[in-house]
Amino acid sequence: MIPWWAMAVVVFGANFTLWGLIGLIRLLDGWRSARLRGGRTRAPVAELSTRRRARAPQRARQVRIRDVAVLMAAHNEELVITESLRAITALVPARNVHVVSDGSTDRTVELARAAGVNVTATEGNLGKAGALQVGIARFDLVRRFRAVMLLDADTRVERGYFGAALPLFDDPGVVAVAGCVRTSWRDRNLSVAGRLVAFHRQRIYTMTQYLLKFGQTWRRLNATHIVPGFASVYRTDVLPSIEVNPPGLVIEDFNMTFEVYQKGLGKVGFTPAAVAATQDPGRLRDYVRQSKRWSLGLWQTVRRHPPRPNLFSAMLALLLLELLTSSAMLVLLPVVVVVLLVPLALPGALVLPWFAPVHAVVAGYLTFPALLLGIVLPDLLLTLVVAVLQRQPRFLLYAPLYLPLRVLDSAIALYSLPLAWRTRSGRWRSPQRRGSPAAGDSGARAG
Amino acid sequence: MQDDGERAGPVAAPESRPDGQDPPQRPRSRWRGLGGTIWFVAIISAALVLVVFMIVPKGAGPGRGTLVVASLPFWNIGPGTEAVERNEQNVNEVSPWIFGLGEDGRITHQYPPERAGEVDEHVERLRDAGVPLVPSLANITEGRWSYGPVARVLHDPRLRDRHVREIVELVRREDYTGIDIDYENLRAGDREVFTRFVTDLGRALHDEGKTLSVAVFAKDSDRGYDERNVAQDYAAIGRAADQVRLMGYDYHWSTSPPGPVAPIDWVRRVVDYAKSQMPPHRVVLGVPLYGYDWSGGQATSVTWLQAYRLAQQHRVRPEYDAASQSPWFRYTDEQGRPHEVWFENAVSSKAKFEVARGAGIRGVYLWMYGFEDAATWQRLGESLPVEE
Repeated sequence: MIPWWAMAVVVFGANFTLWGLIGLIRLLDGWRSARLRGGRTRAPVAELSTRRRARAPQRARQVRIRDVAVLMAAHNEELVITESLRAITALVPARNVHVVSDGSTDRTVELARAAGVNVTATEGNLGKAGALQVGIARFDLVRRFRAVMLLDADTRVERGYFGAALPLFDDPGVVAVAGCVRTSWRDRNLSVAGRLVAFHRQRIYTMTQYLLKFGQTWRRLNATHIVPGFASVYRTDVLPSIEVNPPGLVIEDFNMTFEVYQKGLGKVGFTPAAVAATQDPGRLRDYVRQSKRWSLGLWQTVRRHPPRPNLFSAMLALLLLELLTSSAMLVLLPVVVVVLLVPLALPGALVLPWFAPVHAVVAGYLTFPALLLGIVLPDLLLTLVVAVLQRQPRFLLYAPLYLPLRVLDSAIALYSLPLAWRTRSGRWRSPQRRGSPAAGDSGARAG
Repeated sequence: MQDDGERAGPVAAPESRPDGQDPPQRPRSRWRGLGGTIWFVAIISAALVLVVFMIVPKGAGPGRGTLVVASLPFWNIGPGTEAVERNEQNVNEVSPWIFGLGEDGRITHQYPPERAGEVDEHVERLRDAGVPLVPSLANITEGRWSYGPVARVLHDPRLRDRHVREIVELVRREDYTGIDIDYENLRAGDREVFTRFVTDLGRALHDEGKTLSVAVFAKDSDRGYDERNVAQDYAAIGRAADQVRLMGYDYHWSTSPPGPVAPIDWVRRVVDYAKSQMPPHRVVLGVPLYGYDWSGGQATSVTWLQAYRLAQQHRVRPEYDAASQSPWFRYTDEQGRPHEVWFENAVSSKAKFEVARGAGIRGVYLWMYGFEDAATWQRLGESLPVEE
């Protein structure tokens, strides 16, 4: 029989366990460094390594707000762009903000110009990655700025973002800073499904950011698989080395992250204090589409980058192994539950010649108590931890539904696996915006 | 949001790129594409192997080292031998339950002298069939469970040594593969001496190239349910014996209220506990092939055949209790007394075989009380195939 603790590891995950522990070490390391600096901290967990400056002297200067360009690709975003630009220009000078209208046929360009930011437009619909590439070149961002923030039109950068993110660049080895995702669900008139999606996503974001990414972005052991494209900052001097828009990819941010590590460009910084809010899909159907896209994007990117003898490849192998195995197990879960449930509902079923052996095999390995202890309870515990971390008891309201959604996520991940071989052309079209933004197109792959 | 995977979108042709930049180097080197594909396929394969490894636990698979023992009480030796002969491919050890203890602590035969010929004949037939023989020695004196003789033997070092020598001598003389010790109803104070006896006997038998099997009461904690459980130190016995046979039955017994003889969740707990105390390859799960017919607070044991006939005779259809995985039925006898029967059939036994397989233990022994559900053998072969 599968012992309950083995299932619990499957649910909690070897990656969460490993990187969660490394995250703890990072916390201790951060406190120690803060004490050594005489208690002076900029951000709670800022990576302020001064010892490595000699290696990259040209980067020794601090990155300030005026050194940061904001680059936004927008495709028919007339419904949200004014509000988006007002929010970002409250934090960054308008002359630093750049919008690339990617073949928009609505008033996107007009509204962006009215906001007083730099605007350009592509002739056709290039897709987000193509538009970003155009923006980087046309606005000459590499020469004019020291860092560029890639921002989605539906992202709201929170007030403390730059104050927390920019000091991470004090470490000359850091070439990108990943934004910390928060999902916004207030004031969106979300349906029940929309709220469920929002809470499920926030639960995943919280777990992956605290248990995975925080440890993965320690200055000593640095290897994370995603710098989400919804609100992250790159040093401009590495952009020429990064292939932003390779053919055949449905999303760009996994690939940009992989390029950073596999080309040895540097490290990724992350702090939970640099927060930006994203809008997760408001409908289940959009959620499924977006998840499929994200999964496919990951698989395509993995296929694109052969392994190298480095920590990143090792991290990735462990992560993918677990992602694939736990997905397979989770997809089997409903089948197992049904097989175990049927005889309780219909005792006669066990006399059926074909069902009895199937049931006996399943029941020999798994029992309801084991499922409860090994899967349901750890999952609830995770929810509880997230609710406490987020100080948001509403998470508990949807507690019984997260597991089914994880099963759905797993099914989507496995379903899109073969598509990584089938899908050749990977251009995307921006999402249909409704009254309020419905589905972030690149969204915030936090972990 | 559109999924553009399938969409041949209006992609800007490279020459019309508005940024005037050259597109990135493409086509990429074929090697790189191949390397990434190989790497991804390798990870997917590793994940697949991992999933299969987790789903198919140790001890499963094509029966490598799986042990299936037929335990034949002497009163069922005739039909039991025939069943073993018929299903020789499913059994790789036989334990005729035939030896007992005399008042003086010497080894005796359990069966009355007039049945000696019949028993001997069948034991020889089993031997001829080529199935390893590991007979059982129980603390049965004059046809009843008795405490006095076994306690005297265990607590007197001189008698204990003599007992060990006698057993080894018996196994050697009769050329058995080993012996199965079935000392039941011991007391808490016997724990230490029983452990010592089992340890000494194991050592002596191993020196002769013979095996030791010890039958123990089922329990799911060291203290168990009763004194007799305390007497059996699973961990110590697991160190001394080649097989520890868990008597996974009599959860409900003749003087208890009616209920399943071996409810499946309890069987699982018992196996799990045993596995926590000793290596899994020493654990052998006892599977009952009998039941009880309760009436008026007392029960008589019934074979599957008797239960089947009772149900037919009283025109009742046995129910199957899914929670405990046991068949049962109620009937009213000619005197108007209500009866409740819980028994075992191929389906309920199959569930136990699967517990053994899922737990990755050494195997099972069938307590062949009497005529069993013939389909049991087929189910056994499916769940726990033994090596030829």
